[in-house]
Amino acid sequence: MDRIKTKRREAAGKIFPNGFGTKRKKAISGGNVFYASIVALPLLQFIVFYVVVNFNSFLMAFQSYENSAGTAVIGYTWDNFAYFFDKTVLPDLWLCIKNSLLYLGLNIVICVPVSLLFSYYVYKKFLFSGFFKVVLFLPSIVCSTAMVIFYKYFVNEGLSSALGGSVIGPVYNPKQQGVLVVFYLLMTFSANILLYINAMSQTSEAVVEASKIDGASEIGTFVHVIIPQIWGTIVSIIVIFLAWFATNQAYLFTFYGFNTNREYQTIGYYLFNMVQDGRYTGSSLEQMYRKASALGLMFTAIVAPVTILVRNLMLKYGPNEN
Amino acid sequence: MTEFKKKSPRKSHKRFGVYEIVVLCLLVLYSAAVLALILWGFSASFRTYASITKNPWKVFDNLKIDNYIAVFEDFKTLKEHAGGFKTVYFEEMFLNSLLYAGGGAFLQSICTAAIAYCTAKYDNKCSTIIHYVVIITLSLPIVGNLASMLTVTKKLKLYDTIIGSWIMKFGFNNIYYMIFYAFFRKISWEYAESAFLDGGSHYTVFFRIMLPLAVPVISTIFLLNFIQYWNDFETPYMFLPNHTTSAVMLYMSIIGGGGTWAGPSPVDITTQLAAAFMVFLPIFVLFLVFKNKIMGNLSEGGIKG
Repeated sequence: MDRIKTKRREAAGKIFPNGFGTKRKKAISGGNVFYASIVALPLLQFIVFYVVVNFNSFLMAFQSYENSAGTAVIGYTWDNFAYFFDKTVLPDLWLCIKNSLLYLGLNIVICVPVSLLFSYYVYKKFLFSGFFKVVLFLPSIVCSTAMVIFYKYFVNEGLSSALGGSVIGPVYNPKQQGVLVVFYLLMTFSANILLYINAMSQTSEAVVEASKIDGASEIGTFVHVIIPQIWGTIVSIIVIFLAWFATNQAYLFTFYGFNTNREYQTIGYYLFNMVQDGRYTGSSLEQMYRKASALGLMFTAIVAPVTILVRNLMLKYGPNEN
Repeated sequence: MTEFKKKSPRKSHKRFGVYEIVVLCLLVLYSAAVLALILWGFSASFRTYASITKNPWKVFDNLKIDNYIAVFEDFKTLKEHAGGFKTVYFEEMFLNSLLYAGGGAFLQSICTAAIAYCTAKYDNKCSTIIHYVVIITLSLPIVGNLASMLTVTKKLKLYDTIIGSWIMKFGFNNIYYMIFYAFFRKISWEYAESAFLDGGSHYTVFFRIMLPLAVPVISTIFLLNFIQYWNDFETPYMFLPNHTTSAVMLYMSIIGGGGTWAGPSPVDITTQLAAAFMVFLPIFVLFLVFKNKIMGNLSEGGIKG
């Protein structure tokens, strides 16, 4: 507001040395009304769908719920948290954590470096880069359900002779995890390509050309010039992958609905399934909502500080563009 | 140095080093996998199941459009209507997708642009708070609030209504806020000063000057949001059980029915492939028409080039 006030005063001084006329004064001084009218509804939406929803989620994690007493909250308890440490539930949760870590590893160890290599190729406009840019973007625009249909029948029918029969299905098959991972990589490689290409297009061309003149190879320029200049973007994407650790369903819900074999489940899938199908473990829907909130709270307590810590460390100790 | 700045990164086909060869091979492999998947699916969507099982790679064998016609008959769900149930066919699901994706994308793009304009151009405590709230909420992962979201939407009577889904999208704490923010920061306030001197109000400045200037950014972000919501099946599946979208319909066909599905179970795979292409086609056309806009250099500074 100060900036506006200053500019307004400056303008008034130049054009209207004796101050604004009533009409003009009224129009310009309506800044607060304008601001409030634009901001009010989105702020209300944010308060309801972020603040209230998350606060309610926190409360739900501690609520005990009784259906027989006429569907009502009857108190607060730690039971929703204790449920996941029960010996019948804990092994499933460990499997979910193991699989989520596998996808996190794939994202950071394979997807990030390969996406960067692809992006640099497109950014430098090497052979057929225009064509590759379109193909790389295709998985992002095709509906994941459609891609799952194409992939499922491509593997089960098209590659059945090579893979020894149908691989994707509800029955456990050791090859199935590999097939799911391949699909995941196909879909995820391209997810951040545009961000990388755009970040690269913002880098200083002079520095890139200077490195070439100094005799740097393409790999050398990529590692020592481009990577440091887009380090902020790389950190942001790694942070997104970390934050995604406990919500990533790895397309399992799209492939199998609520009947994924426990061997493949991730935390994101497990949580989503608890909410979308409260009968999952025989409990009532409302009870399951509260258990899902408790599990979500536990993972938020772990993932949030780790994400922030990793971000700060990467920014502090990462390559410097200078 | 100034000379270098004028040059754009450019066609460097002349020298092919190790990097180019290795990445080219990887890209060829990746492209072959993605295109084989889509093209095989496209050809299979015109074939019969018997023909596919007999010879899956005879892609031009016995092509017919029967599978596409079958989508209009077989893909159906039930919705609660006047105390009973009504059958919903593909056309209505398509319309639901348009309403859900179009309305949600429009409202979110406009809302984000408006808030970013306020925080970029009006320096006050509220703007500072909003700006930092967006940054914090974007980088702070919150897990497992879906159950709470369902509870809140049900309490507010927004559950299972298209308008409710629009209200849920009418927010500003998304990644595109930063793009709008950077864009409005770059626009000179002198436009506004001139408008004020001509008797214009803050509304005039926003609606007649700033929003028209931001139309290219808003339209690109609208397109990206539209594609995302068109393809989204989880949110409508959870929050719009009686407004099945075409993406939800595809999902139901994959899991072999369940929920409100009223078509055959299991669904014939060739009909599924045809339905998948019918859902993909509008987005693909949109992509072809606006390819440069969608894949253009949308960066924190707005749109380049």
